[in-house]
Amino acid sequence: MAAVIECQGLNVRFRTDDGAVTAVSDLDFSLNPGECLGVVGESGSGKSQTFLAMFGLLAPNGSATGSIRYRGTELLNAPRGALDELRGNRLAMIFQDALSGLTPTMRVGEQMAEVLVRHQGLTRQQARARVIEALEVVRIADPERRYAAYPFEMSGGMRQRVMIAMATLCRPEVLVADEPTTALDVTVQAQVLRLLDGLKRHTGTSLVLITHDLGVVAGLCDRVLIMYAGRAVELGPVRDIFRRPAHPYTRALLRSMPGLGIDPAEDLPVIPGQPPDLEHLPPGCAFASRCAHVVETCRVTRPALLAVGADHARACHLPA
Amino acid sequence: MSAGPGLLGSETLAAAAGGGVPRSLWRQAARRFRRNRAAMASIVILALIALSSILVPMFWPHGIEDASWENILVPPGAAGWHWFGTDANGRDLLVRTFYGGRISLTIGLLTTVVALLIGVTYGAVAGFAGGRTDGFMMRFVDVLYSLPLIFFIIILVTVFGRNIFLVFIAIGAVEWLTMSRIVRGQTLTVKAKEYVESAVAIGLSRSAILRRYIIPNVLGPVIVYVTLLIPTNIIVESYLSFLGLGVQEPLTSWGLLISQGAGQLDSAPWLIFFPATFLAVTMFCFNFIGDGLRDALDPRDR
Amino acid sequence: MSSVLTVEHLSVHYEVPAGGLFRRHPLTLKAVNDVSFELRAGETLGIVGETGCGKSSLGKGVLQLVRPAAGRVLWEGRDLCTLSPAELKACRKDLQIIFQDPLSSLNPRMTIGEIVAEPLEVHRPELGRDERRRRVDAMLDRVGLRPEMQSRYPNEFSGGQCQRISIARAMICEPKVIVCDEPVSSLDVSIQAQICNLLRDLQRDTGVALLFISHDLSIVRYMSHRVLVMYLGRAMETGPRLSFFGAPRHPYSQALISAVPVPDPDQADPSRSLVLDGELPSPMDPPSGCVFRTRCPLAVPVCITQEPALVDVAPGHGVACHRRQDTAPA
Repeated sequence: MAAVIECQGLNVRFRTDDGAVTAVSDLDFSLNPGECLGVVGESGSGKSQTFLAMFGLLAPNGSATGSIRYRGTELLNAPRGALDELRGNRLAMIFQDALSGLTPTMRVGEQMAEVLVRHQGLTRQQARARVIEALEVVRIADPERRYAAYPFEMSGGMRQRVMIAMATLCRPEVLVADEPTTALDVTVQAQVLRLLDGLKRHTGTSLVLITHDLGVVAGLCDRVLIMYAGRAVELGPVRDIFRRPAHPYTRALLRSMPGLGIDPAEDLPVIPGQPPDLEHLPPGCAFASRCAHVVETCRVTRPALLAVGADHARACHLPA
Repeated sequence: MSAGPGLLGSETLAAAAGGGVPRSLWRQAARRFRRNRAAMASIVILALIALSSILVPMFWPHGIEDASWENILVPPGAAGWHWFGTDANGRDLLVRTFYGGRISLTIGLLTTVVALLIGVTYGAVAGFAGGRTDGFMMRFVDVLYSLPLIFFIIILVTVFGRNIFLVFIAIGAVEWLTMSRIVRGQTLTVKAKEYVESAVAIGLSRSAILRRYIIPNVLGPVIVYVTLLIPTNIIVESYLSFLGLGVQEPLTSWGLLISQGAGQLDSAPWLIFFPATFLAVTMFCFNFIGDGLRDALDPRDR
Repeated sequence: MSSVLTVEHLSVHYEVPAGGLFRRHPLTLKAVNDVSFELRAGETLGIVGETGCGKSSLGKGVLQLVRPAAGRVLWEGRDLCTLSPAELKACRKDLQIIFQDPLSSLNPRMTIGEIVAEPLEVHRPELGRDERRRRVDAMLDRVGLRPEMQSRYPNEFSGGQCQRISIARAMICEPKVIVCDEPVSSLDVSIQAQICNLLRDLQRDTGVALLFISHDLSIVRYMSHRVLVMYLGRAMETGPRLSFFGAPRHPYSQALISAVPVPDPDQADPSRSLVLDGELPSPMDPPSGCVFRTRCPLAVPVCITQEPALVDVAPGHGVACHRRQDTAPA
């Protein structure tokens, strides 16, 4: 099966007052049709910037090199017109802060209908019917009335569901969700996750779920990409990541989560120290300074992402 | 920069905490400001204008009131040290322009200081007190706001007669209104910050909170506003003088020179050209500095 | 264990400016309504609930950062709610708070040394400059920061480091109680664990009691000895950790716990978690009777008319639910 999204040698850099910051370096990954890829990392790991680059949404002081292809079409630094054709239509993205994605002065339904009128040439009436149907799918009660509501009249969870409905209106092939549930309460998070799960199962949309929460990934994703300081450290099927994590960072991350299953009497194992400074990344492995198993090579040579099993790769010098 | 929130924030700075000089927000702002070429150039130009406004009238061969009937409306040129030409009374325009600069810049600075003192105190007290006090104080500002400036000045002038100090008072008395609103708004914002709550929680007194927490954090936008208020006040003085309500002969200011030159635009265009150029350059400089300060102090950049 | 702080029937109300030009009376938002609990020495009480449940207002009401509308907060035999500002100031030495956003809870214009030393200046003015500095050094070292960082400013530190600074500031006067208002919610996973462990260590060493406010159940489970669940300003359920997490009895607690994502691909299944339908009712206009009834899968007519009281179902484990008999584990 050919990949929907193919990313090769992606580098994202930002010019700042203090010099150049490398947000993503030499990243390779692909997204298969109908799968859900979880992209996990802490703040500064480059997980969001990767996909902002793909959508041409990097901040003005940022630049991307390398290649991200959607079915053979290069997306990086593509002309605006070509990108506009795909964005919101074949490729859609939803963000953590759902309010910022909605125009405050326009009725929610009309904003959604606008997308259909523009990308699919539907009439207003046709668009309205489709929008109400989409609102029903995301389980918004009384969609006819909500069609005429303004964003501020909705709760955070409702807005996030509206964003999902809006992103899926044109039945995109790829949906990138950037921390879609981070700003939401647990019970609302459960609603949104169930919704994304249903979407993946019923429409065959390829889903990218960017998150810092491994718990969210476990329930929803087929494959997981773990990022650290702008680099891929591990990539593999979700079961392998949780059952046989191959990178020390992944293992430490899994252990340091205070899930409901741990014994509160014992102290959580922590990852000591801080993530490295993105301005002055070490020459070797970015995790070396916090790794419990560090050896001399780790500080000198950057490990490549190499296979350790079927479809499972990691970037680490230690013997597997 | 609005770029990469997670990126340009704590991580990059955190590692820097390892060595070097502590980077207070002021120090960082100063560093950003120094990189702004337009603002730095503006400071140099402004300093030159200010310095020559002080020095040139002291050393120039012509005085500001030296009328010379032989040299009426001489066009600009080197002849007889009338580089900027002369006016209808044969007075040297160069010395009058620089002298006018003295008055205009002084008025700009002094009125701003008046506005700053009244505005900051009033606004900070209103914002920090909150509740009814705040409501009452700000309604009073609203009432004053509704009085047109010109109307206010005409009243002052008719009651107290024409006097340059009246101009200071009149402009300062009107411009502090905006300042007090800005300071009050900032105070309200800062008051809602968690660090102020944490100061309450450790039992710090109200005056210490105002001194250590509120005022230092309100200062940034005030400084920016000050650099934009100075040129505003210079312009206000100019149009008051233009209308004959401001500076009176034989004293002069850029506004007065422009108003006098406007009458002879056809026959002696230099009379308006020089003072207007100086006024415009000064305006640009203050605005560039204000922009530079705003960019350097912008809280979103932290 | 003796209780250090007893909260009785505490209510915190906010006046919300009325919309419209001619509405005379402001609306009242009842953020906390009749909540009682006690906090024992050396213990952590976790306050759990979702956005708008009043958990932060509860913490601020306890510390009198917001004056409660009703109820009592008993501290060393006195009711904090009736104390004058001057009397209250003296008590603040022993009652501290740590906020959620580490950066915005530190004054950006002060150095780390000044920030941490400030409580000592207020409450222990008799200490000399050298002694103060020595204590600040020791405290910074205790929370895992290098003492030579004293002259630096908060903006030079990461979120996790700022939270350590907040903890140092809160701990420097050796308080008896710290209200931790979502102290790790804005931190990365690996940093969260560091801060949680630091708080637990400090508690073991000093016996400080923590009121740990969080929306994250797994962290509350890790941190707390006892738990109090809030919904729309009311206490829904309270109990010892084991009893509560082992057998939650309120339908809301059950939904909360089942909504926590399980970090295990074989057990996690979003379609299986107990998802609550509907939206959170407006706190300005809460439902009659049991406030949770509009979203409760077990609601019956009595829930509309009568507000359930907190009734013990096990030692120290109280539930405010009319259907508590039906929620017992099978």
